[in-house]
Amino acid sequence: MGSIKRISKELTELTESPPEGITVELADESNVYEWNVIMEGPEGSAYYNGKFLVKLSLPTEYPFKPPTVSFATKIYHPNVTNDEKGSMCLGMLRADEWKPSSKIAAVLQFARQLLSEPMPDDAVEGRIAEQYKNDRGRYEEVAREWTRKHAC
Amino acid sequence: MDNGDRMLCHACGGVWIRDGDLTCPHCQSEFTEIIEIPPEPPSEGSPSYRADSSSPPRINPWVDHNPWEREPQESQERQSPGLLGSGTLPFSSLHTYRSPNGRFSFSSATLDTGMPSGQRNNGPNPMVPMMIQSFDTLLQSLMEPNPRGYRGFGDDPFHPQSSTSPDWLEDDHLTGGHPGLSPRNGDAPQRININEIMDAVRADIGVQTMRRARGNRGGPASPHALSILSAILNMTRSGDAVYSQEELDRVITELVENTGGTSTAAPPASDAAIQALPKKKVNEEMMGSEGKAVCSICMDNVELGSEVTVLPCTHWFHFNCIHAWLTQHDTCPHCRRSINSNTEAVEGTSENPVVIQDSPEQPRSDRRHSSSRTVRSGRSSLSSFQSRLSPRISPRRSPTPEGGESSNRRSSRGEGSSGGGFANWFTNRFGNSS
Repeated sequence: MGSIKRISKELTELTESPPEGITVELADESNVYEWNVIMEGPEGSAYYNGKFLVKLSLPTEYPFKPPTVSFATKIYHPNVTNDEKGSMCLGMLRADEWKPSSKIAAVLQFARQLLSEPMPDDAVEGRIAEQYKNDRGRYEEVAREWTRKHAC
Repeated sequence: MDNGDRMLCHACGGVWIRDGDLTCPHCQSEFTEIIEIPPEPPSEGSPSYRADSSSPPRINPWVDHNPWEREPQESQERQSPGLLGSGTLPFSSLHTYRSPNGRFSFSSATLDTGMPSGQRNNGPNPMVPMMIQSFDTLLQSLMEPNPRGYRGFGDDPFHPQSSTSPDWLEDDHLTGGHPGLSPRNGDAPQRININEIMDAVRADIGVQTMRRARGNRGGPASPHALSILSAILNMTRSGDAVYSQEELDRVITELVENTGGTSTAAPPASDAAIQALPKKKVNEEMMGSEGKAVCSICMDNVELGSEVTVLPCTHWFHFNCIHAWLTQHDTCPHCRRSINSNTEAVEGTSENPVVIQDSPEQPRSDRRHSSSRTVRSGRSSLSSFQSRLSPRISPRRSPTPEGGESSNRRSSRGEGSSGGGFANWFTNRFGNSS
């Protein structure tokens, strides 16, 4: 499959020159479709100093179908579902937005950018989004608390 | 403030006053939330709290607090026009949602009805509280014999799990504060199957959609008592109306998931169209300044002189790579421009008569107003119809086929289109999108 070749290539690139705050490895050395990503909370965000385990899952049709990104580490964020899945809502990963020319590195960088700048208008957690918009202080307080508790 | 916040545990439904820590003191869950006052719209629709409101709650300091004392019209935004007529219910709120790409937006009004009747503000229409109250009484009598003592936030009354009620909730000390916490007579011998009753009611009033949508989130859900009531009373359209944030979330999730699947994604290209794409040997210009180029699908380097397939937008790929993509979507994987225009031109025959647009280029916004001249080809009409639906691949009203002007403009954007006048015209007319 061409997909394995491309995935290996991207994995090599990401391992050799990882983007800032992002470390990747295969969850299981024998399966290139499941990645473990350690994402460091960006400086200046409420997630700073936190290390979040992010699961990146690639479909066998990759790159023709988008990967999925989910947070295994609990995170208080408008764009991450507050359940056991921790799914992250990324516009670029939707089926009709996905482009095969997007690389995993871009996906991960976008995801990390979302930690710095949540998008409350595209939220999956409406309550957190409301809080983010209306009571930023408290949102950051809780997000920090969660980060300290779960991601440090 | 650090302490004294009112906290809600999403896992067990407990409500307590924060004491520094955010963890639920009862079930240790960390899925907790600081809740604002007035609290979230109570979706649990548990109307029988009044049965216990007279019992002596002591520990919960909020028991005497009346969240509804606060002026409900704190802002224009919160005040909805009202599903039941303006002002009939004081606690309605307006929510607006927008899908990530902005192509969909939803507005909805949410009604909050979880307030104790004794504390209800007197709305202009006294009938509404009365009706709700009677319905409460009805529901209460149905639920009274339910041995499972408690239905709180996060506990779907229509899909009861066996005994999820923590012991501490059996005490009545919290019952006054949160309308969802309602101990009931645990000694009652019999249990009416509320599910069947509710299912029947819901089937009648057509809220099945919500139920289906609920599966997507698996969260707490129940048609709000008011929704059932209002549907029964025909107070408003029942089919499209939802009455709680949770229901609304679910409906939207379903919509977004559906549209995120295949319906708005570009359709597959025909094999003939794919085969008809021009091929080209990679030349030095295509290799770029670094003398190195990759196929952005497989990310493999492309050697000088190897053959690639070129799309109308001039992006090129390995044939096998682009073939795999085009069998799923007929757009360029890089810029999303449709490939159809070009192939239609190639296939253009006497069966696809074309009326040539001879007017000068117009702004895109005027496109739909100049309607008379169209391409009479089923395929083309379809693609232009799809284009209209999806702005990304919308055709640009474009210049005349004979216009050298247009070619210049296109080349200046780095879009050389092969195929001569007709193909050019077709590409210009249908092949562009921003």
